[in-house]
Amino acid sequence: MARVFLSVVFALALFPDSGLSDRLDRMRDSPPVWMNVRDDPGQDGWVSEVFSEAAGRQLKRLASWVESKEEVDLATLAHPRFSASARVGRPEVVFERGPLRVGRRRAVDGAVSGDRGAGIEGFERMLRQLFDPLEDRPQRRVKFKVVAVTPGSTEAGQVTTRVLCEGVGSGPAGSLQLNVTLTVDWLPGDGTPLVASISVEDYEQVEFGPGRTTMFSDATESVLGAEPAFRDQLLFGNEYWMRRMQTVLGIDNYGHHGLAVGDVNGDGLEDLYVCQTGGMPNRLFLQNEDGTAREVAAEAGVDFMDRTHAALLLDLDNDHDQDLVLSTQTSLLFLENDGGGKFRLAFEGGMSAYSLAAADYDADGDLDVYATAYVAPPEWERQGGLGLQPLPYHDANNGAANGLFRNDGDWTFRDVTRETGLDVNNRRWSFAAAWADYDADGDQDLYVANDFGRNNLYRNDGGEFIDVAAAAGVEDSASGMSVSWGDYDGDGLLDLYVANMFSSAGNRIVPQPGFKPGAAAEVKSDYRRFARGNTLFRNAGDGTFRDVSESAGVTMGRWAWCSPFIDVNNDGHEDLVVANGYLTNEESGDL
Amino acid sequence: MVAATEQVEGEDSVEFHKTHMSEIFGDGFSFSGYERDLVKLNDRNGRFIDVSGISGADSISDGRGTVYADFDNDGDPDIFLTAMQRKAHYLFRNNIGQDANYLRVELVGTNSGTDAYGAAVEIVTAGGSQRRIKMGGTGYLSQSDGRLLFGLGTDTTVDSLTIRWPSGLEQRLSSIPANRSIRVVEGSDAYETLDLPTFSFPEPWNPAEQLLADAGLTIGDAFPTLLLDPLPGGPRTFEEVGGHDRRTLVNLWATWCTSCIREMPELNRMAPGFAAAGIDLVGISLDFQATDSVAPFLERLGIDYPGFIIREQGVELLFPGGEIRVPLTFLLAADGTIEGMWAGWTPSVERELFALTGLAGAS
Repeated sequence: MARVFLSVVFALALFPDSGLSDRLDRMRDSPPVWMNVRDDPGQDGWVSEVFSEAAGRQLKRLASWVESKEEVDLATLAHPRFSASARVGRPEVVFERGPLRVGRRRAVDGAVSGDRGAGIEGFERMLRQLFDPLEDRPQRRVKFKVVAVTPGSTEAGQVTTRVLCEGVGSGPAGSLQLNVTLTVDWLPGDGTPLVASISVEDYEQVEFGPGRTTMFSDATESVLGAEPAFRDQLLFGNEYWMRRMQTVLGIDNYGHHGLAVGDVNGDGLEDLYVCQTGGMPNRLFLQNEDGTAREVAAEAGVDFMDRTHAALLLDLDNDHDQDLVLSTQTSLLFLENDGGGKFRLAFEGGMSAYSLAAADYDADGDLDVYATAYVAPPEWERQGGLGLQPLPYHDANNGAANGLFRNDGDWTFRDVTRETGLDVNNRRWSFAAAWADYDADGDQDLYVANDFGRNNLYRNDGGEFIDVAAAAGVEDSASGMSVSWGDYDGDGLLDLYVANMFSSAGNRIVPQPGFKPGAAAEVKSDYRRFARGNTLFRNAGDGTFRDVSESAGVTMGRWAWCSPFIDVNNDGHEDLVVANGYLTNEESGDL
Repeated sequence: MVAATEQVEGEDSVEFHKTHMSEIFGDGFSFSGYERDLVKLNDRNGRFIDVSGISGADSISDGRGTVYADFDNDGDPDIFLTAMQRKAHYLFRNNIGQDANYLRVELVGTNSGTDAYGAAVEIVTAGGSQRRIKMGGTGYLSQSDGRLLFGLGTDTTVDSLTIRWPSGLEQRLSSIPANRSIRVVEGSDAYETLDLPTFSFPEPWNPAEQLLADAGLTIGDAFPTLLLDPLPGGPRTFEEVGGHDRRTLVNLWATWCTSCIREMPELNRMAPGFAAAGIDLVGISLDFQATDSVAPFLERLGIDYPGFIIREQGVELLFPGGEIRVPLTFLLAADGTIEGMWAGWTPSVERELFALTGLAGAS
């Protein structure tokens, strides 16, 4: 889908109204120009964005000082009147299990006396203290991100920023990560802002090792490298294929291809179905007992070349093998496993879909399938990705309708969306859905994550659904991409994690008084929510949920996609993994 | 929202859409790019700690679908991820879960349907309770392992296990030892301990193996016909080098490659040995954008074996991913088939190449 364009719309939405119509005019006259919104914040009237960019450049130089200690003259980064407002204390261990240790350091107020914390030397002393744990990790990288800009109060030209800092280093001592939130004050220098003071809001340090460097290893090549399907196709990203394939084959420019895990041949090893873009065959990898995998999609009869978004491996006819459902750009394919890992197309549902989720919603002993539609692709493509826009952007209700397909046995499935009540609030732009009995009343409820606005929580009342998202407090009005259920706090109640978009620019601009000055408070608050990022809802046990995202520290997910709960370290507490990123290209500059 | 209500007229063609996309890709700029995937660790106190940087699973390829599964049945969740750019698929092997105990629960339904998606399982151990549901699809475009894997930390016994089946049946088991896979059939009081095939994923490749994998060629392939420019005073075509019944050692290098600078003088010393063993040594420079720099560079290093400069079209044949990684050395049979490949310049590569000379000291 044209996520690029839509987020540009979001970017446009962040600019003052005066500049907006001008930009839309430019879009009309000369289409490619709309991508130029990334270029020059100075044109948009946001002085704070100009400042943020200048400060960002300085912080980038500061990062290279931390990484290499060379080439950067600290006198060009800090103001001569720099003063450290606090030191950080020693790390207090908050978590320790096996090779993994987490410590937090607190700011110690007033601990910097006189000259020691002042001037360029004081600046260097403070930096050395802050980044000392990286010192004996020769391979290191540091990144700063400005997430808030406010005019300072003490003197003219002073600006206060909130800065997130991530530092990662590795070496024989093991690996280490610093998660630091800083308040950085700036004063004008000669054409560029200079750091006037730094104080520490939050300081977290995670160590792993010694003798070990990472919790996971990339084993892709050692497992799949010998397979031509991997070497010739799966290894390469979209850009590679876009340069080589004709659009008519249905190549998806945005990389929306999912995965399904299941034991296809009943040998006790989980196999993997890999969806591919239009023009490339989907792949089925069966595991071998030596730790490698073999690709058998063609033999199995599942090497479809239609643009495929998602797949489910599940037993639809209760004969103890894993059948397959695919959502392609044009239809839902229901395929029957013959018990030996060969499939035949048994039913076709005429719906273009994204995510799939299966459950037995009517408790009749067979699995039913819910499919999310996002937006009707033929229309979308015909409109060149520009005609059909989410309306209104912050609460769009003009997407395509999702569908619930009831399993009626004998490989027939019936669209029961309307008669089950799932046609309510069903024109949102739905990327993902997941079933769970969140209210523990014995039937399967459904959460749907929607882009451009509110999500749905359909409570199942004996086979009929009611959207209770508002009452349950889980509308989460933002750019929903993904939904996962899990009991992260071990209280026996199912909690909910929803992935959205985190936007540094949005976080900087939306809270300012100049952002959409005429708009109602609720609209402004909606936009603030759009930029905030991911959401964790804790199940209160009374049918409602509490938004604990901030206190749980899970909002910052970048441009997030799949976001499962996974207990990565097997300690019995579910962790989170979030896939991120929209489009990585040679040049890194972006919004 | 003004932006959202505006319609753009007259441009509504697929062609127009393509133009925009070509623009985006052609410009080569990023849009929320270089964003690393996140791994956030539950601190058991209501907070999640960002451990992405030390996770080894924080790829920057624009991740989309993400599944977890204990692919190798060793008792911890591995991760498979699809991405949009760069390397588009990743398998991350879990290196930490095996430090703790586990219990895997496979559910077989009867009245609930065989898969029993939607079943909820709660276990109680000394460390507390955990609840999982068997999910038929979760996250975005993803369906993970349907067998429920419980990490037990240091606990060695699951005191009780309660299953709430979609049919409404509730079933309870007790005192299950850790580190095993069990199968529970709906309505049956006993559970079965499974003897699953278990293995360890092969060790990830080292950088040299990775380099070979990234090259578009492998042993047994025919070495492609490359468009080459001659160097002053050197052979004009590849065919002019050596005789028909001789093998060829092709060394790909570049002026910016520091390993090449160390490797090439060594190869130069070995050249007579190669020649005596029926092998002709040829260097191919990848400096197609800076062809003038090649001859002086070779002269400075004192290289006198024959060489060429590749043309841009050839680079894609050799490095289909677009990233040039050298040094890379190929041994070609007389008919041009690749017999051997070496990546990088390490003591072992040096040893193996020297062994081709058959000279004393070569092992």
